[in-house]
Amino acid sequence: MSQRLSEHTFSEAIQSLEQIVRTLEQPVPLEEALSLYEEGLSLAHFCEARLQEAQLRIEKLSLQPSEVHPSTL
Amino acid sequence: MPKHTIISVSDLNGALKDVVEDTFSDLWVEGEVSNFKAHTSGHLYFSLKDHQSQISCALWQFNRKYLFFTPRDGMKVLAHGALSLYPPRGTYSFVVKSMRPAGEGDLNLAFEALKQKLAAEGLFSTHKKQKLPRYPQRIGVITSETGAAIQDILRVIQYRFPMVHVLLIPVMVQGPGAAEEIARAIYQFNAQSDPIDVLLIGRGGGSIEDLWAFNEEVVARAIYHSTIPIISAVGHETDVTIADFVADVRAATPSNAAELATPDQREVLQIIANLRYTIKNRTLRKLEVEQERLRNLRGSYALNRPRMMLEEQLRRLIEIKRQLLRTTQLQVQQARTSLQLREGQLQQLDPNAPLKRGYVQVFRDQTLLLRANETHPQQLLTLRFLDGSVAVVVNEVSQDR
Repeated sequence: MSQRLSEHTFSEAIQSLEQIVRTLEQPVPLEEALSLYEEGLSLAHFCEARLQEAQLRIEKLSLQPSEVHPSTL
Repeated sequence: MPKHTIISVSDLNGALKDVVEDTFSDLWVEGEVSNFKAHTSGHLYFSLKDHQSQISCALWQFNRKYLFFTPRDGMKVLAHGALSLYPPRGTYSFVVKSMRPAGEGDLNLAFEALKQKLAAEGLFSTHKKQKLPRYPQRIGVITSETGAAIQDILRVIQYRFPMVHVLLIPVMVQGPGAAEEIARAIYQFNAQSDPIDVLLIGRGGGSIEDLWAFNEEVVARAIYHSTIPIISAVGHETDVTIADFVADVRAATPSNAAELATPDQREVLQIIANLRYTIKNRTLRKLEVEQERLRNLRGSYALNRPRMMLEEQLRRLIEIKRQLLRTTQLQVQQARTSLQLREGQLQQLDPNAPLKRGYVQVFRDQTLLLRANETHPQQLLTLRFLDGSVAVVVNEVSQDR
C-alpha cells in the first residue's frame, strides 16, 4: 500500500509545486519563501525520481456476473 | 403390452414449458422479419424466418424503449430474448428483449435512428463531458484481451507515462452479448472501491458489424452514467460509433486513446524543471528585494539618528563658530573705524594743532585771550608758540570795528 501512497502523491506533489510557485508570487515573508523554496526543490526531486524509476503495472480483473446490470439505473 | 405412464395434456405442456424455458433462456437469433404487426397495446408481434423455417415472436411494450429502429417486413435482424411456451395452446414463441438490424443498410438506418434518439435525450451534450485528469495514476481498460488494441494501449502508456497502473477487464468486443459485457465492465469499474482516474474503451478496426457493440444503447447509457471520464477508441480514424458521441473524449484509435489519457513523461520532466526554475527565480528575487530593503534600512533616518544628531550639532557648532568669527571681525573692524574717527576728531580738538599751522596763542596771566580789547598798552602778555613762549609788552591797541 505504500506503493499506492507514493503513486497518489505524484500528482499531488506536482500540484503542490504549482501551488508553491503561486504562493511565491504573493508577498510572503522571506522566512516562509525560503522554506517554500526548500520544499519545492525536494518535491521536484521526488517527482523526477518517481518518473525515472516508474514501471508500468498491469492487472487483469475478471468481469463480474451481471448483478450490477444497467437496467437497474 | 407394456404399461405406459399416462399424463395429461396440461402436465405435458407444463413439463415442456419448464424444459423449453430453462434451456432457451438466453438466445440470439438472426432472421428476417415477416408478418410484422404493432398492436394498439404497444406490443409487437412478428415472425422471424429463414429459407426453411419460421418462429413467431413477441416484443412486449415495456421493452420497446430499447428498440432504436422500427422493424419492417423483410428486414434482417439479430434478436435477443428467450423462448416461452404457452401451455393452454401448446405453442411456443420467441420473446424478444432487444433487437438490432443485421444487414448493413439497415444498420446505418438504425445507427442514425439511435443517434437521433440519444441526441434528443441529451446524452451527447458537451456540458456533460468530464475533464480528463492531467496525471492519471490508475487507468481502466475495457477491450478484448487478445486484440491489437490492448497491445497498442500498453505500448503507448509504457513509452509515455509508465508510472500508471493499468487495470484491464477483458470483454468480448463483437458478436452477440459484446455490448452487454462492455456496459457491465463500465459499471464494474465505476462500482470499484479503488478509484479509477480514466477509462479507455475500444477495439481495433473491423466491419460495421464488428464494431456494432459500440453502437448499442446499453453501451451508450453505461458511458453516459459513468462518473469516471471515458475515452472511446473504436476502430480506425474514420469509424464513428455512438460510443464516440457519448464518451467524454473520442480518440481516433486505441493508441491515440492512450496518448490522450497520459502525459508524455519527457514533457512532465520539462514541466518539473520549469517549476523548479520558477521557484528558484522567485525566491532569489524575493531575497534581492529583501536585501535592497535592508540596504535602505541601514541608511535610514531611524537607524542613524544618534549620528545624525551629532552631525547636526556639529554642523550647528561650525555654523555658530563661523557666525561668531564673522561677528567678532565686524566688531573689531567697527572698533577700528570708530577709533580712527575719534582720532581724527581728537586731532581736530588738539590745541596745538593751530600752532602747527602758524597760529599763536596769547595768554595774560595763564588766561587765553581771544579778543584785542581784552588788552591795553604796557600790559605784559605771553605768546605761546608750538615750541615755546615769548614775553611781550603791548605797545598799542586797535580794534577792527
